[in-house]
Amino acid sequence: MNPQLEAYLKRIEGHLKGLTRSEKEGEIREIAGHLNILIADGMESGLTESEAVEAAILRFGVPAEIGRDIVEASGGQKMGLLHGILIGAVIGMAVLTAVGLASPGHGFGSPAERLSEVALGGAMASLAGRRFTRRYLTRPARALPLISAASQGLTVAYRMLGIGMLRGTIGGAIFGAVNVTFALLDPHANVEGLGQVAAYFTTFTAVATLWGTFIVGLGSAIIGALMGVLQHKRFKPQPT
Amino acid sequence: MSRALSKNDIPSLVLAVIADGPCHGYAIAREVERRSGALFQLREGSLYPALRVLEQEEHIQGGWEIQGSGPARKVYRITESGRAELVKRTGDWAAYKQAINTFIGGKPHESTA
Repeated sequence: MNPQLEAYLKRIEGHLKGLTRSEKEGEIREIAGHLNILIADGMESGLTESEAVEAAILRFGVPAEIGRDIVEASGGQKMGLLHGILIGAVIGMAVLTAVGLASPGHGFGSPAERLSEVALGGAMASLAGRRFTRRYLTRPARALPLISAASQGLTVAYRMLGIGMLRGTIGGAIFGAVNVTFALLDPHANVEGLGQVAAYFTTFTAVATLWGTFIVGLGSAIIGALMGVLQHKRFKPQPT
Repeated sequence: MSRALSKNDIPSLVLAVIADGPCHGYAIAREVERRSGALFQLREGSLYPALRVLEQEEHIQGGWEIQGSGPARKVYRITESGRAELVKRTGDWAAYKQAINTFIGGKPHESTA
């Protein structure tokens, strides 16, 4: 393949972020086919190969715009595994909290117990949650099988959830680490041995991080849903 | 005179071309050029996002086919929903065109001041 054409195709591929490998291959194969015919046309009309490639590329357009528009038209960026697990963890924690509140005698338990439950619940929910979000929440609002205002609410909620989870993770980790540090510095603290200190530090910080992620993420999602619905044209005051 | 096409108009043109028979990307670009008498300036790469939109909305279906001795090409066909969508878009466009014609060629509104 002509090196100039190859570089152009690679630039388009670089902007197909979020598509699966087979989707990217399909897009590039199709675009390469189109460009090859344009190049052959150019050469038939008397251009050199290099001139024909240049003309074809110019006619085709800017790689960043093409890539970005294809990704958007194909349903937006697909979610990564880590993102899916985080969303799953939030859903898992929400379910566990609801179960805990609804079941008499089901207290919060020890941090280690709670952490295990949350990790298990999050991992299970991530499988279902990731599939659901890939299928619906990463698509443009118009493609959602719901009424348009609710679709817009869900889409904004999803974006806000991602931002909220990141903030919650950072905030929770800082909160947990600071709390544990102060607790360990307390002369009245009854802590024995380095192993116990490490276990206490890890468990408490991890629990605080997960709860921070959960609370801030869920709060952001709820605010996002309300904002999304209220920003919909149906709920905006119409000019008189 | 030539005009740059709006991104929002490209799916309608693509749908109209595919309604007349299965086509691949390059052939669609040539047909748009031919039908418009080179009036529309189309960046050919912008066809592919339009094709993806129409595929997502299930107005067209694409499949890889080997035609003659050449390499496989992705050929698009219109669906029943695509035909209905084209009828709707044609109606919408006719109404829009009439409104613009009335606006430009019609009498100006009387001043309310």
